[in-house]
Amino acid sequence: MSDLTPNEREIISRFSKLMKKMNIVIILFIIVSIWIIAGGFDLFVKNDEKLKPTTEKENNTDSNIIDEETGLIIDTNVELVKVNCTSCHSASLIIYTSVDSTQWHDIIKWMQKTQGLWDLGSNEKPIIEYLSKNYGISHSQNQPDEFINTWYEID
Amino acid sequence: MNNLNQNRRGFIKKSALATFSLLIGSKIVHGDNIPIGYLPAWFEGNNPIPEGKHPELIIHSDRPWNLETPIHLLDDNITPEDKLFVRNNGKLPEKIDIKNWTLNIKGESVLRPKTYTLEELKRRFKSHQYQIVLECAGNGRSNFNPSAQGIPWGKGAVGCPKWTGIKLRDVLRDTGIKNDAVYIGYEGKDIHLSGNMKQRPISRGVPIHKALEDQTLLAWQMNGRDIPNLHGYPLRLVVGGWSASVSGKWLSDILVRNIVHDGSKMKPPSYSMPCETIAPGEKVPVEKMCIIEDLPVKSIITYPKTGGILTKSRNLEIRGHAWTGTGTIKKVELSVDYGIHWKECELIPESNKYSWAHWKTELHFNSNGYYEVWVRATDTFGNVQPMFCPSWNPRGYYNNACHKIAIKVEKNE
Repeated sequence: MSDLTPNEREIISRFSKLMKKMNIVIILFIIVSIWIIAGGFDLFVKNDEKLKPTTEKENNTDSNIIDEETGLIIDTNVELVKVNCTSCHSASLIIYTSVDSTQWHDIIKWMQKTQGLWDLGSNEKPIIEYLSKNYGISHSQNQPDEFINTWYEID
Repeated sequence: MNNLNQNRRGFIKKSALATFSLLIGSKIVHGDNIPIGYLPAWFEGNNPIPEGKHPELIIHSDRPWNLETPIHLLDDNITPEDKLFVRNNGKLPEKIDIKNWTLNIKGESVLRPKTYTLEELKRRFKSHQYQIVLECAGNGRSNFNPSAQGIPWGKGAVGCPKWTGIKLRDVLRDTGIKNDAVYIGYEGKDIHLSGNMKQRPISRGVPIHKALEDQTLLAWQMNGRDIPNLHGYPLRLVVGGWSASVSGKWLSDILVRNIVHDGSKMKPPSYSMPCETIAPGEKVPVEKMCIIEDLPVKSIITYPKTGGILTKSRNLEIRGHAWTGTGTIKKVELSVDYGIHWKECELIPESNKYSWAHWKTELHFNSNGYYEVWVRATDTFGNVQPMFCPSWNPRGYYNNACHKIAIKVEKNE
Protein backbone atom coordinates (compact mmCIF):
# COMPACT_ATOMS: atom_id res chain seq x y z
CA MET A 1 0.00 0.00 0.00
CA SER A 2 2.91 2.34 0.65
CA ASP A 3 3.79 2.79 -3.02
CA LEU A 4 0.31 3.91 -4.05
CA THR A 5 -0.50 7.44 -5.05
CA PRO A 6 -3.01 9.43 -2.96
CA ASN A 7 -5.47 9.11 -5.84
CA GLU A 8 -5.07 5.37 -5.95
CA ARG A 9 -5.41 5.18 -2.18
CA GLU A 10 -8.54 7.29 -2.48
CA ILE A 11 -9.96 4.96 -5.08
CA ILE A 12 -9.05 1.87 -3.09
CA SER A 13 -10.52 3.45 0.06
CA ARG A 14 -13.79 4.26 -1.68
CA PHE A 15 -13.89 0.87 -3.27
CA SER A 16 -13.30 -0.77 0.13
CA LYS A 17 -16.16 1.23 1.65
CA LEU A 18 -18.40 0.25 -1.26
CA MET A 19 -17.46 -3.40 -0.82
CA LYS A 20 -18.24 -3.15 2.89
CA LYS A 21 -21.65 -1.68 2.10
CA MET A 22 -22.33 -4.38 -0.45
CA ASN A 23 -21.25 -7.04 2.01
CA ILE A 24 -23.80 -5.76 4.47
CA VAL A 25 -26.47 -5.92 1.79
CA ILE A 26 -25.42 -9.42 0.81
CA ILE A 27 -25.34 -10.56 4.42
CA LEU A 28 -28.79 -9.09 5.05
CA PHE A 29 -30.07 -10.82 1.93
CA ILE A 30 -28.70 -14.15 3.14
CA ILE A 31 -30.22 -13.66 6.58
CA VAL A 32 -33.63 -12.81 5.13
CA SER A 33 -33.52 -15.83 2.79
CA ILE A 34 -32.64 -18.19 5.62
CA TRP A 35 -35.44 -16.66 7.67
CA ILE A 36 -37.97 -17.23 4.89
CA ILE A 37 -36.84 -20.82 4.42
CA ALA A 38 -37.07 -21.50 8.15
CA GLY A 39 -40.67 -20.37 8.09
CA GLY A 40 -40.34 -16.87 9.44
CA PHE A 41 -42.61 -15.64 6.67
CA ASP A 42 -45.32 -17.64 8.37
CA LEU A 43 -45.41 -15.04 11.11
CA PHE A 44 -47.54 -13.00 8.76
CA VAL A 45 -49.79 -15.86 7.85
CA LYS A 46 -53.01 -16.39 9.77
CA ASN A 47 -53.22 -19.71 11.54
CA ASP A 48 -56.38 -20.84 9.85
CA GLU A 49 -55.65 -24.56 9.97
CA LYS A 50 -58.67 -25.12 12.19
CA LEU A 51 -61.03 -24.26 9.33
CA LYS A 52 -61.79 -27.60 7.77
CA PRO A 53 -64.20 -28.15 4.92
CA THR A 54 -66.25 -31.28 5.27
CA THR A 55 -66.67 -31.95 1.56
CA GLU A 56 -64.12 -32.60 -1.11
CA LYS A 57 -64.68 -30.39 -4.14
CA GLU A 58 -63.69 -31.52 -7.64
CA ASN A 59 -62.70 -28.03 -8.75
CA ASN A 60 -60.73 -27.16 -5.61
CA THR A 61 -57.58 -29.05 -6.50
CA ASP A 62 -54.16 -28.72 -4.94
CA SER A 63 -52.96 -26.59 -7.84
CA ASN A 64 -55.15 -23.60 -6.78
CA ILE A 65 -53.55 -20.66 -5.01
CA ILE A 66 -55.63 -19.52 -2.07
CA ASP A 67 -56.13 -15.96 -0.86
CA GLU A 68 -54.55 -15.76 2.59
CA GLU A 69 -57.06 -13.31 3.99
CA THR A 70 -60.29 -15.09 3.10
CA GLY A 71 -59.45 -18.62 1.96
CA LEU A 72 -61.01 -17.95 -1.47
CA ILE A 73 -59.44 -19.41 -4.61
CA ILE A 74 -57.41 -16.76 -6.41
CA ASP A 75 -58.85 -16.39 -9.89
CA THR A 76 -60.07 -13.59 -12.15
CA ASN A 77 -62.47 -11.30 -10.26
CA VAL A 78 -61.75 -12.68 -6.79
CA GLU A 79 -61.24 -9.11 -5.62
CA LEU A 80 -64.79 -8.22 -6.69
CA VAL A 81 -66.06 -11.16 -4.68
CA LYS A 82 -64.00 -10.20 -1.63
CA VAL A 83 -65.23 -6.63 -1.68
CA ASN A 84 -68.92 -7.42 -2.28
CA CYS A 85 -69.31 -10.70 -0.44
CA THR A 86 -67.38 -10.66 2.84
CA SER A 87 -68.57 -7.51 4.58
CA CYS A 88 -71.59 -9.23 6.20
CA HIS A 89 -70.58 -12.87 6.36
CA SER A 90 -67.26 -14.68 6.18
CA ALA A 91 -65.99 -16.25 2.96
CA SER A 92 -66.72 -19.67 4.48
CA LEU A 93 -70.30 -19.33 3.27
CA ILE A 94 -68.97 -19.24 -0.30
CA ILE A 95 -66.26 -21.85 0.23
CA TYR A 96 -68.60 -24.52 1.60
CA THR A 97 -71.17 -23.98 -1.18
CA SER A 98 -71.09 -25.96 -4.44
CA VAL A 99 -73.91 -24.96 -6.77
CA ASP A 100 -74.30 -24.05 -10.44
CA SER A 101 -74.56 -20.58 -11.96
CA THR A 102 -78.38 -20.55 -11.90
CA GLN A 103 -78.35 -21.20 -8.18
CA TRP A 104 -75.61 -18.64 -7.49
CA HIS A 105 -77.77 -16.15 -9.34
CA ASP A 106 -80.81 -17.15 -7.25
CA ILE A 107 -78.81 -16.88 -4.03
CA ILE A 108 -77.70 -13.35 -4.98
CA LYS A 109 -81.27 -12.34 -5.80
CA TRP A 110 -82.47 -13.76 -2.46
CA MET A 111 -79.79 -11.79 -0.60
CA GLN A 112 -80.77 -8.62 -2.44
CA LYS A 113 -84.46 -9.20 -1.74
CA THR A 114 -84.26 -10.26 1.89
CA GLN A 115 -80.81 -9.70 3.40
CA GLY A 116 -79.86 -6.15 2.46
CA LEU A 117 -77.39 -6.92 -0.34
CA TRP A 118 -76.98 -3.99 -2.72
CA ASP A 119 -77.34 -3.91 -6.51
CA LEU A 120 -74.13 -5.38 -7.95
CA GLY A 121 -74.61 -3.64 -11.30
CA SER A 122 -72.03 -4.59 -13.93
CA ASN A 123 -70.14 -6.61 -11.30
CA GLU A 124 -72.88 -9.19 -11.06
CA LYS A 125 -71.91 -11.17 -14.17
CA PRO A 126 -68.18 -11.49 -13.37
CA ILE A 127 -69.02 -12.36 -9.75
CA ILE A 128 -71.36 -15.17 -10.78
CA GLU A 129 -68.75 -16.37 -13.29
CA TYR A 130 -66.10 -16.57 -10.57
CA LEU A 131 -68.45 -18.34 -8.16
CA SER A 132 -69.77 -20.96 -10.56
CA LYS A 133 -66.28 -21.67 -11.91
CA ASN A 134 -64.53 -22.03 -8.56
CA TYR A 135 -67.44 -23.12 -6.36
CA GLY A 136 -69.57 -24.97 -8.87
CA ILE A 137 -71.63 -28.07 -8.39
CA SER A 138 -69.74 -31.07 -7.10
CA HIS A 139 -70.48 -34.67 -7.66
CA SER A 140 -68.94 -36.77 -4.96
CA GLN A 141 -68.13 -40.42 -5.03
CA ASN A 142 -69.58 -42.65 -2.35
CA GLN A 143 -67.94 -41.17 0.74
CA PRO A 144 -67.48 -42.53 4.21
CA ASP A 145 -69.33 -40.51 6.82
CA GLU A 146 -66.20 -39.30 8.51
CA PHE A 147 -62.80 -39.27 6.97
CA ILE A 148 -60.46 -41.59 8.84
CA ASN A 149 -57.37 -39.54 9.58
CA THR A 150 -55.53 -42.28 11.44
CA TRP A 151 -56.31 -45.77 12.49
CA TYR A 152 -55.95 -46.30 16.25
CA GLU A 153 -56.12 -49.24 18.64
CA ILE A 154 -59.32 -49.62 20.62
CA ASP A 155 -58.03 -52.25 23.03
CA MET B 1 -57.66 -26.42 3.39
CA ASN B 2 -54.55 -27.85 5.09
CA ASN B 3 -53.07 -29.11 1.79
CA LEU B 4 -53.77 -25.81 0.07
CA ASN B 5 -52.06 -23.78 2.78
CA GLN B 6 -49.11 -26.11 2.79
CA ASN B 7 -48.74 -25.79 -0.96
CA ARG B 8 -48.80 -22.02 -0.64
CA ARG B 9 -46.09 -22.06 1.97
CA GLY B 10 -44.15 -24.50 -0.13
CA PHE B 11 -44.40 -22.13 -3.07
CA ILE B 12 -42.99 -19.29 -0.98
CA LYS B 13 -40.22 -21.48 0.37
CA LYS B 14 -39.23 -22.77 -3.05
CA SER B 15 -38.73 -19.25 -4.38
CA ALA B 16 -36.65 -18.31 -1.33
CA LEU B 17 -34.55 -21.44 -1.82
CA ALA B 18 -34.02 -20.60 -5.47
CA THR B 19 -32.85 -17.11 -4.56
CA PHE B 20 -30.51 -18.42 -1.92
CA SER B 21 -29.11 -21.01 -4.31
CA LEU B 22 -28.47 -18.33 -6.90
CA LEU B 23 -26.74 -16.16 -4.33
CA ILE B 24 -24.23 -18.65 -3.10
CA GLY B 25 -23.86 -20.30 -6.47
CA SER B 26 -24.66 -23.84 -5.39
CA LYS B 27 -27.67 -26.09 -4.95
CA ILE B 28 -29.14 -26.33 -1.46
CA VAL B 29 -28.79 -29.92 -0.40
CA HIS B 30 -31.88 -31.34 1.27
CA GLY B 31 -33.80 -28.15 0.47
CA ASP B 32 -36.84 -30.22 -0.42
CA ASN B 33 -36.77 -31.88 2.96
CA ILE B 34 -37.43 -28.68 4.87
CA PRO B 35 -40.83 -29.39 6.44
CA ILE B 36 -43.63 -27.59 4.70
CA GLY B 37 -46.08 -25.81 6.98
CA TYR B 38 -43.55 -25.37 9.74
CA LEU B 39 -44.63 -22.71 12.19
CA PRO B 40 -42.43 -21.47 14.99
CA ALA B 41 -43.90 -23.00 18.15
CA TRP B 42 -44.58 -19.69 19.83
CA PHE B 43 -46.72 -18.53 16.88
CA GLU B 44 -49.32 -21.27 17.37
CA GLY B 45 -52.04 -20.86 19.93
CA ASN B 46 -54.42 -18.68 17.95
CA ASN B 47 -57.53 -20.67 18.84
CA PRO B 48 -60.52 -19.44 16.87
CA ILE B 49 -63.12 -21.63 18.68
CA PRO B 50 -65.46 -19.51 20.84
CA GLU B 51 -64.99 -19.66 24.59
CA GLY B 52 -66.67 -22.56 26.28
CA LYS B 53 -66.72 -24.79 23.20
CA HIS B 54 -64.67 -27.95 22.70
CA PRO B 55 -61.49 -27.39 20.61
CA GLU B 56 -62.34 -30.30 18.30
CA LEU B 57 -65.60 -28.80 17.05
CA ILE B 58 -65.53 -28.34 13.29
CA ILE B 59 -65.83 -24.71 12.20
CA HIS B 60 -68.06 -24.36 9.16
CA SER B 61 -68.10 -20.57 9.44
CA ASP B 62 -67.21 -17.89 11.97
CA ARG B 63 -69.35 -15.09 10.64
CA PRO B 64 -71.95 -16.18 11.57
CA TRP B 65 -70.80 -18.94 13.96
CA ASN B 66 -71.61 -22.46 12.79
CA LEU B 67 -69.83 -25.30 14.58
CA GLU B 68 -70.34 -29.06 14.28
CA THR B 69 -69.60 -31.76 16.86
CA PRO B 70 -67.58 -34.80 15.73
CA ILE B 71 -69.90 -37.75 16.40
CA HIS B 72 -67.60 -39.54 18.84
CA LEU B 73 -67.80 -36.44 21.08
CA LEU B 74 -71.58 -36.96 21.41
CA ASP B 75 -71.13 -40.04 23.62
CA ASP B 76 -72.57 -38.35 26.75
CA ASN B 77 -76.19 -39.21 27.47
CA ILE B 78 -76.83 -35.56 28.24
CA THR B 79 -74.92 -33.33 25.82
CA PRO B 80 -72.68 -30.94 27.76
CA GLU B 81 -72.43 -27.27 26.78
CA ASP B 82 -68.98 -27.49 25.23
CA LYS B 83 -70.03 -30.26 22.86
CA LEU B 84 -73.35 -28.88 21.64
CA PHE B 85 -73.28 -27.79 17.99
CA VAL B 86 -73.75 -24.12 17.19
CA ARG B 87 -75.98 -22.81 14.43
CA ASN B 88 -76.43 -19.04 14.03
CA ASN B 89 -78.07 -16.95 11.35
CA GLY B 90 -76.86 -13.61 12.67
CA LYS B 91 -74.62 -12.02 15.25
CA LEU B 92 -75.07 -12.45 18.99
CA PRO B 93 -76.93 -9.66 20.81
CA GLU B 94 -74.49 -7.03 21.96
CA LYS B 95 -75.79 -5.98 25.34
CA ILE B 96 -78.12 -8.04 27.46
CA ASP B 97 -79.89 -6.12 30.19
CA ILE B 98 -81.04 -9.10 32.22
CA LYS B 99 -83.04 -7.06 34.73
CA ASN B 100 -85.11 -5.45 32.03
CA TRP B 101 -85.40 -8.42 29.70
CA THR B 102 -89.03 -8.91 28.67
CA LEU B 103 -91.07 -11.38 26.69
CA ASN B 104 -93.96 -9.86 24.74
CA ILE B 105 -96.89 -12.02 23.74
CA LYS B 106 -98.56 -10.25 20.84
CA GLY B 107 -100.03 -10.80 17.37
CA GLU B 108 -103.40 -10.62 15.69
CA SER B 109 -104.72 -13.75 17.42
CA VAL B 110 -103.69 -13.17 21.01
CA LEU B 111 -106.63 -12.39 23.27
CA ARG B 112 -104.84 -10.23 25.86
CA PRO B 113 -101.41 -9.05 24.70
CA LYS B 114 -99.01 -9.01 27.62
CA THR B 115 -95.41 -8.33 28.50
CA TYR B 116 -93.65 -10.47 31.12
CA THR B 117 -90.33 -9.92 32.84
CA LEU B 118 -88.08 -12.94 33.34
CA GLU B 119 -88.65 -12.72 37.05
CA GLU B 120 -92.42 -12.84 36.55
CA LEU B 121 -92.22 -15.85 34.24
CA LYS B 122 -90.13 -17.74 36.78
CA ARG B 123 -92.35 -16.77 39.69
CA ARG B 124 -95.85 -17.16 38.26
CA PHE B 125 -95.53 -20.34 36.24
CA LYS B 126 -94.51 -23.83 37.24
CA SER B 127 -91.08 -24.79 35.95
CA HIS B 128 -90.33 -28.11 34.28
CA GLN B 129 -87.24 -29.92 33.12
CA TYR B 130 -87.03 -31.96 29.93
CA GLN B 131 -84.21 -33.44 27.94
CA ILE B 132 -84.94 -32.41 24.36
CA VAL B 133 -82.99 -33.09 21.17
CA LEU B 134 -81.94 -30.05 19.17
CA GLU B 135 -81.09 -30.94 15.60
CA CYS B 136 -80.38 -28.79 12.60
CA ALA B 137 -82.70 -29.55 9.68
CA GLY B 138 -79.64 -29.77 7.46
CA ASN B 139 -77.89 -32.41 9.58
CA GLY B 140 -76.60 -34.96 7.07
CA ARG B 141 -76.61 -32.50 4.15
CA SER B 142 -73.03 -33.22 3.08
CA ASN B 143 -73.90 -36.69 1.72
CA PHE B 144 -76.31 -35.44 -0.94
CA ASN B 145 -75.09 -35.93 -4.48
CA PRO B 146 -75.03 -33.56 -6.32
CA SER B 147 -74.17 -31.17 -3.52
CA ALA B 148 -77.07 -29.35 -1.89
CA GLN B 149 -77.05 -25.68 -0.89
CA GLY B 150 -76.35 -24.78 2.72
CA ILE B 151 -73.93 -25.58 5.53
CA PRO B 152 -72.33 -28.94 4.71
CA TRP B 153 -73.09 -30.62 8.04
CA GLY B 154 -71.95 -34.19 8.50
CA LYS B 155 -74.10 -35.99 11.08
CA GLY B 156 -72.99 -33.98 14.15
CA ALA B 157 -75.44 -31.07 14.09
CA VAL B 158 -77.42 -32.62 16.95
CA GLY B 159 -77.35 -32.74 20.71
CA CYS B 160 -79.60 -33.45 23.67
CA PRO B 161 -79.09 -31.22 26.70
CA LYS B 162 -81.51 -30.84 29.62
CA TRP B 163 -83.72 -27.75 29.52
CA THR B 164 -85.39 -25.98 32.43
CA GLY B 165 -88.23 -23.55 31.86
CA ILE B 166 -91.98 -23.10 31.75
CA LYS B 167 -94.46 -24.47 29.27
CA LEU B 168 -95.36 -22.08 26.46
CA ARG B 169 -98.87 -23.48 26.85
CA ASP B 170 -99.17 -22.06 30.37
CA VAL B 171 -98.26 -18.58 29.17
CA LEU B 172 -100.67 -18.78 26.22
CA ARG B 173 -103.43 -19.85 28.64
CA ASP B 174 -102.64 -16.77 30.68
CA THR B 175 -102.94 -14.43 27.70
CA GLY B 176 -105.63 -16.40 25.95
CA ILE B 177 -105.65 -17.07 22.21
CA LYS B 178 -108.43 -16.42 19.73
CA ASN B 179 -110.32 -19.13 17.86
CA ASP B 180 -108.64 -18.22 14.59
CA ALA B 181 -105.10 -18.76 15.92
CA VAL B 182 -103.21 -21.18 13.67
CA TYR B 183 -99.49 -20.49 14.23
CA ILE B 184 -97.00 -18.91 16.57
CA GLY B 185 -93.86 -17.09 15.52
CA TYR B 186 -90.88 -15.93 17.57
CA GLU B 187 -88.61 -12.89 17.45
CA GLY B 188 -85.22 -12.68 19.10
CA LYS B 189 -82.54 -10.14 19.83
CA ASP B 190 -79.83 -11.54 17.58
CA ILE B 191 -78.48 -9.00 15.11
CA HIS B 192 -78.74 -9.21 11.33
CA LEU B 193 -75.38 -9.78 9.60
CA SER B 194 -75.84 -6.59 7.59
CA GLY B 195 -76.10 -4.57 10.81
CA ASN B 196 -79.64 -3.48 9.93
CA MET B 197 -81.30 -3.32 13.36
CA LYS B 198 -84.79 -3.37 11.84
CA GLN B 199 -84.35 -6.80 10.32
CA ARG B 200 -84.42 -10.11 12.17
CA PRO B 201 -81.87 -12.69 11.08
CA ILE B 202 -84.46 -15.38 11.66
CA SER B 203 -88.05 -15.45 12.84
CA ARG B 204 -89.73 -18.82 12.48
CA GLY B 205 -92.55 -20.63 14.20
CA VAL B 206 -94.77 -23.67 14.55
CA PRO B 207 -98.48 -24.52 14.26
CA ILE B 208 -100.57 -24.00 17.38
CA HIS B 209 -100.81 -27.73 18.16
CA LYS B 210 -97.02 -27.86 18.42
CA ALA B 211 -96.88 -24.70 20.53
CA LEU B 212 -99.31 -26.24 23.02
CA GLU B 213 -97.41 -29.53 23.43
CA ASP B 214 -96.23 -30.62 26.88
CA GLN B 215 -92.56 -30.36 26.00
CA THR B 216 -92.62 -26.97 24.26
CA LEU B 217 -90.68 -24.80 26.68
CA LEU B 218 -89.70 -21.23 27.29
CA ALA B 219 -86.32 -22.18 28.74
CA TRP B 220 -83.73 -20.23 30.72
CA GLN B 221 -81.44 -23.02 31.81
CA MET B 222 -79.44 -25.62 29.95
CA ASN B 223 -78.05 -28.49 32.04
CA GLY B 224 -78.90 -26.62 35.23
CA ARG B 225 -77.03 -23.41 34.34
CA ASP B 226 -77.94 -20.22 32.53
CA ILE B 227 -78.25 -20.89 28.81
CA PRO B 228 -74.89 -19.96 27.23
CA ASN B 229 -74.70 -16.81 25.06
CA LEU B 230 -74.18 -18.85 21.91
CA HIS B 231 -77.29 -20.90 22.63
CA GLY B 232 -79.79 -18.12 23.32
CA TYR B 233 -79.16 -16.46 26.72
CA PRO B 234 -81.24 -15.53 28.65
CA LEU B 235 -84.40 -17.09 27.21
CA ARG B 236 -85.21 -19.37 24.32
CA LEU B 237 -87.91 -21.56 22.86
CA VAL B 238 -87.31 -25.28 22.85
CA VAL B 239 -89.61 -27.26 20.55
CA GLY B 240 -89.13 -31.02 20.33
CA GLY B 241 -88.97 -33.13 17.18
CA TRP B 242 -88.74 -30.28 14.69
CA SER B 243 -85.83 -28.40 13.15
CA ALA B 244 -83.90 -26.44 15.80
CA SER B 245 -84.61 -23.36 13.66
CA VAL B 246 -88.05 -23.19 15.31
CA SER B 247 -86.46 -23.13 18.78
CA GLY B 248 -85.88 -19.38 18.75
CA LYS B 249 -83.00 -17.94 20.74
CA TRP B 250 -82.52 -14.66 22.65
CA LEU B 251 -86.31 -14.60 22.79
CA SER B 252 -88.08 -11.25 23.04
CA ASP B 253 -91.47 -11.82 21.41
CA ILE B 254 -93.98 -14.55 20.67
CA LEU B 255 -96.57 -13.72 18.04
CA VAL B 256 -99.89 -15.53 17.87
CA ARG B 257 -100.89 -15.59 14.19
CA ASN B 258 -104.02 -16.26 12.19
CA ILE B 259 -101.89 -17.20 9.18
CA VAL B 260 -98.82 -19.39 8.77
CA HIS B 261 -96.10 -17.21 10.28
CA ASP B 262 -94.23 -15.28 7.62
CA GLY B 263 -91.14 -14.05 9.43
CA SER B 264 -87.56 -14.15 8.16
CA LYS B 265 -86.52 -17.60 6.85
CA MET B 266 -90.01 -18.99 7.40
CA LYS B 267 -91.09 -19.13 3.77
CA PRO B 268 -89.86 -21.44 1.00
CA PRO B 269 -87.16 -22.04 -0.12
CA SER B 270 -85.94 -21.66 3.50
CA TYR B 271 -86.43 -24.84 5.50
CA SER B 272 -88.53 -26.31 2.69
CA MET B 273 -88.53 -29.39 0.50
CA PRO B 274 -90.19 -30.08 -2.84
CA CYS B 275 -93.78 -31.06 -2.04
CA GLU B 276 -93.39 -33.94 -4.51
CA THR B 277 -90.16 -35.90 -4.75
CA ILE B 278 -87.76 -34.88 -7.54
CA ALA B 279 -84.72 -36.36 -9.26
CA PRO B 280 -81.23 -35.51 -8.00
CA GLY B 281 -80.20 -32.10 -9.29
CA GLU B 282 -83.66 -31.19 -10.63
CA LYS B 283 -84.78 -27.56 -10.36
CA VAL B 284 -88.04 -26.88 -8.50
CA PRO B 285 -89.92 -23.56 -8.31
CA VAL B 286 -90.50 -22.03 -4.88
CA GLU B 287 -94.30 -22.42 -5.24
CA LYS B 288 -93.86 -26.20 -5.33
CA MET B 289 -91.92 -26.34 -2.04
CA CYS B 290 -93.40 -27.19 1.36
CA ILE B 291 -92.15 -26.20 4.82
CA ILE B 292 -90.49 -29.07 6.66
CA GLU B 293 -92.09 -30.23 9.90
CA ASP B 294 -91.31 -33.39 11.97
CA LEU B 295 -87.68 -34.45 11.59
CA PRO B 296 -87.11 -38.08 10.53
CA VAL B 297 -85.89 -41.04 12.64
CA LYS B 298 -82.10 -41.17 13.11
CA SER B 299 -79.33 -42.86 15.06
CA ILE B 300 -75.59 -42.48 15.61
CA ILE B 301 -72.70 -44.64 16.86
CA THR B 302 -70.91 -42.55 19.48
CA TYR B 303 -68.49 -45.23 20.70
CA PRO B 304 -66.09 -46.24 19.33
CA LYS B 305 -64.82 -43.46 17.08
CA THR B 306 -64.51 -44.60 13.48
CA GLY B 307 -61.10 -45.98 12.54
CA GLY B 308 -60.49 -48.30 15.48
CA ILE B 309 -58.38 -51.47 15.36
CA LEU B 310 -59.11 -54.43 17.64
CA THR B 311 -55.87 -56.23 18.48
CA LYS B 312 -56.50 -58.14 21.71
CA SER B 313 -59.92 -59.64 21.05
CA ARG B 314 -62.59 -59.91 18.39
CA ASN B 315 -65.28 -58.44 20.66
CA LEU B 316 -66.37 -54.84 20.50
CA GLU B 317 -68.54 -52.86 22.90
CA ILE B 318 -70.48 -50.39 20.85
CA ARG B 319 -73.11 -47.78 21.73
CA GLY B 320 -74.91 -44.60 20.69
CA HIS B 321 -78.21 -42.74 20.58
CA ALA B 322 -81.40 -42.77 18.51
CA TRP B 323 -84.17 -40.19 18.18
CA THR B 324 -87.21 -39.26 16.10
CA GLY B 325 -89.70 -36.46 15.52
CA THR B 326 -92.58 -38.92 15.30
CA GLY B 327 -93.42 -41.04 18.31
CA THR B 328 -90.57 -42.73 20.18
CA ILE B 329 -87.76 -45.15 19.28
CA LYS B 330 -88.95 -48.75 18.96
CA LYS B 331 -85.70 -50.56 18.14
CA VAL B 332 -82.09 -50.07 17.09
CA GLU B 333 -80.13 -52.62 15.04
CA LEU B 334 -76.57 -53.05 13.79
CA SER B 335 -75.21 -54.67 10.65
CA VAL B 336 -71.61 -55.64 9.84
CA ASP B 337 -72.35 -57.10 6.41
CA TYR B 338 -73.73 -54.07 4.59
CA GLY B 339 -77.35 -54.64 5.59
CA ILE B 340 -77.83 -58.35 4.92
CA HIS B 341 -78.18 -59.27 8.60
CA TRP B 342 -79.21 -56.98 11.45
CA LYS B 343 -78.64 -57.52 15.18
CA GLU B 344 -81.02 -55.86 17.62
CA CYS B 345 -79.36 -53.84 20.41
CA GLU B 346 -80.29 -53.26 24.03
CA LEU B 347 -82.42 -50.11 24.19
CA ILE B 348 -82.74 -47.59 27.02
CA PRO B 349 -85.85 -45.54 26.16
CA GLU B 350 -86.02 -41.75 26.08
CA SER B 351 -86.32 -40.01 29.46
CA ASN B 352 -89.25 -38.07 27.99
CA LYS B 353 -90.78 -37.59 24.54
CA TYR B 354 -88.40 -35.74 22.13
CA SER B 355 -85.32 -36.78 24.09
CA TRP B 356 -83.01 -39.38 22.63
CA ALA B 357 -82.89 -43.08 23.45
CA HIS B 358 -79.62 -44.88 24.12
CA TRP B 359 -78.61 -48.21 22.68
CA LYS B 360 -75.69 -50.58 23.21
CA THR B 361 -74.49 -54.06 22.42
CA GLU B 362 -71.39 -56.22 22.09
CA LEU B 363 -70.32 -57.33 18.64
CA HIS B 364 -68.32 -60.51 17.97
CA PHE B 365 -66.24 -60.71 14.79
CA ASN B 366 -65.48 -64.20 13.48
CA SER B 367 -62.32 -63.27 11.64
CA ASN B 368 -59.78 -60.55 11.12
CA GLY B 369 -60.40 -57.92 8.49
CA TYR B 370 -61.94 -54.54 7.71
CA TYR B 371 -65.60 -54.09 8.68
CA GLU B 372 -68.21 -51.37 8.42
CA VAL B 373 -70.71 -51.22 11.26
CA TRP B 374 -74.06 -49.68 10.27
CA VAL B 375 -76.75 -48.58 12.76
CA ARG B 376 -80.47 -48.39 11.93
CA ALA B 377 -83.35 -47.14 14.11
CA THR B 378 -87.10 -47.77 13.83
CA ASP B 379 -89.71 -45.60 15.56
CA THR B 380 -93.20 -46.35 16.89
CA PHE B 381 -94.76 -44.76 13.80
CA GLY B 382 -93.09 -47.51 11.74
CA ASN B 383 -90.49 -45.22 10.21
CA VAL B 384 -87.16 -46.89 9.47
CA GLN B 385 -83.89 -45.33 8.36
CA PRO B 386 -82.73 -45.96 4.78
CA MET B 387 -79.17 -47.20 4.26
CA PHE B 388 -78.51 -44.70 1.49
CA CYS B 389 -79.17 -41.02 1.13
CA PRO B 390 -82.92 -40.58 0.48
CA SER B 391 -84.88 -38.04 -1.62
CA TRP B 392 -82.59 -35.43 -3.11
CA ASN B 393 -83.76 -31.84 -2.52
CA PRO B 394 -82.04 -28.55 -3.35
CA ARG B 395 -81.46 -27.60 0.31
CA GLY B 396 -80.31 -31.01 1.46
CA TYR B 397 -82.82 -31.67 4.25
CA TYR B 398 -83.97 -34.97 5.71
CA ASN B 399 -80.92 -37.12 5.04
CA ASN B 400 -81.52 -39.76 7.68
CA ALA B 401 -79.41 -42.48 6.04
CA CYS B 402 -77.73 -44.87 8.47
CA HIS B 403 -74.57 -43.78 10.22
CA LYS B 404 -71.66 -46.18 9.83
CA ILE B 405 -68.18 -46.52 11.29
CA ALA B 406 -65.14 -48.50 10.10
CA ILE B 407 -63.35 -51.05 12.25
CA LYS B 408 -60.35 -53.31 11.66
CA VAL B 409 -59.91 -56.58 13.48
CA GLU B 410 -56.25 -57.62 13.66
CA LYS B 411 -56.04 -60.09 16.49
CA ASN B 412 -53.13 -62.49 16.24
CA GLU B 413 -53.85 -66.04 17.42
